[in-house]
Amino acid sequence: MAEAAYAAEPRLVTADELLRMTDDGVRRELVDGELTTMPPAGEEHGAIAGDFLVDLGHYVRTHRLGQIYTAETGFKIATDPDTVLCPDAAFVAQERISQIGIGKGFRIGAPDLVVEVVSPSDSIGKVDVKAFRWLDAGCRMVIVIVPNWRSATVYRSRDDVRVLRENDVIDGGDVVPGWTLPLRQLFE
Amino acid sequence: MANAAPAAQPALLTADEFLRMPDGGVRRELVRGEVCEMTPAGSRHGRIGMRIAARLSGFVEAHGLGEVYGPDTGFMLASDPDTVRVPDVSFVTRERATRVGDVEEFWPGAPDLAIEVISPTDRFSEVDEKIEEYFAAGCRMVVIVNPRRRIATVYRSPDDVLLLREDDVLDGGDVVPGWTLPLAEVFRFDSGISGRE
Repeated sequence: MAEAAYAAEPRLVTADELLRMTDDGVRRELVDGELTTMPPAGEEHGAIAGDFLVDLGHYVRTHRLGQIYTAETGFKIATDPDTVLCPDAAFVAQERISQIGIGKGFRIGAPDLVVEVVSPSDSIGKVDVKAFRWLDAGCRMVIVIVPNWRSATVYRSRDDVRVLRENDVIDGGDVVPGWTLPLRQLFE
Repeated sequence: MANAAPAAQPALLTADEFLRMPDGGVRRELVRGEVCEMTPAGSRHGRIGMRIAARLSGFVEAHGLGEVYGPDTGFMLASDPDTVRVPDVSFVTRERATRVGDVEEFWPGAPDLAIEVISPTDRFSEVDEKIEEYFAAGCRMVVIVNPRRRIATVYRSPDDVLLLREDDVLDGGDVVPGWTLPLAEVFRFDSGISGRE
């Protein structure tokens, strides 16, 4: 029985320890001090995230709006216990980049925009939990793409959640002003 | 270690054996010969399923279009290994229902229309798998209702999906000709302010 108690309380890992871990090819996140591993994404997942990032990245570069990040980037959004998450794509506005620059370690704080592509193994409710976690950490817009439904869900707050369908257009709003992306483009 | 091998390969059940299983008060499905237990649905899930069933049943009966089945009816979607699924609401055309008759066993085949209300714990892959099974067995329309997002996805094949929002109308098309149901009516909670997340 004593062993069971131990097992239920694993030692918590810090963001620094995660950063210093030997790269064994496994993608990991840290949720409230506990390590979670992520299997590699399937092809459709990667293709959609890639297309999204190319479009957003081009616009952000052209208009010098900030920095975009690929899927490997860790964002530390909570301390003690530490939480480090890796969105499929992300954007941080220029004024926030200017404040603390770009470092070698995990980015501190949530991105302004997070993009997640749903994987078949995700549970439907878990997608909300993840999106709300980003919002709670200060993210201003979370876009969750659901390939199966050729749909995207845009979260601006817990009370402002909009479902877009194939013919709709993703709008950067006040987060990426002027940027729009017809959802259909991602599913071609 | 020798004990581990049999456990990994449980004996597959046939639909007949599955039908004769003692009722343990648990809702079950048979997926390729393996029994999957389903936890009881939450109250919103059941309320929404019931509302759709009531509207569909009223229309189908008034127009003599066929039969509507509730969330207890098993449809035998595949044989050897057997798969028996239990949609939340289903409809079979009069022609097919007449041919099969008012059987006590599982319905031998897919319904023409299957409606599933999904729960937050469902995985996207599980929902996909069900949709493919329904169509492979001859189903002509599958509707997946997502109460939390107040949307529904209407499939005419595993690749032909139409997403409906709360202000849209579900249309029976050539499967239930003439039947329409505004999604707002499906999600509306009559006993007070609606319970959004």
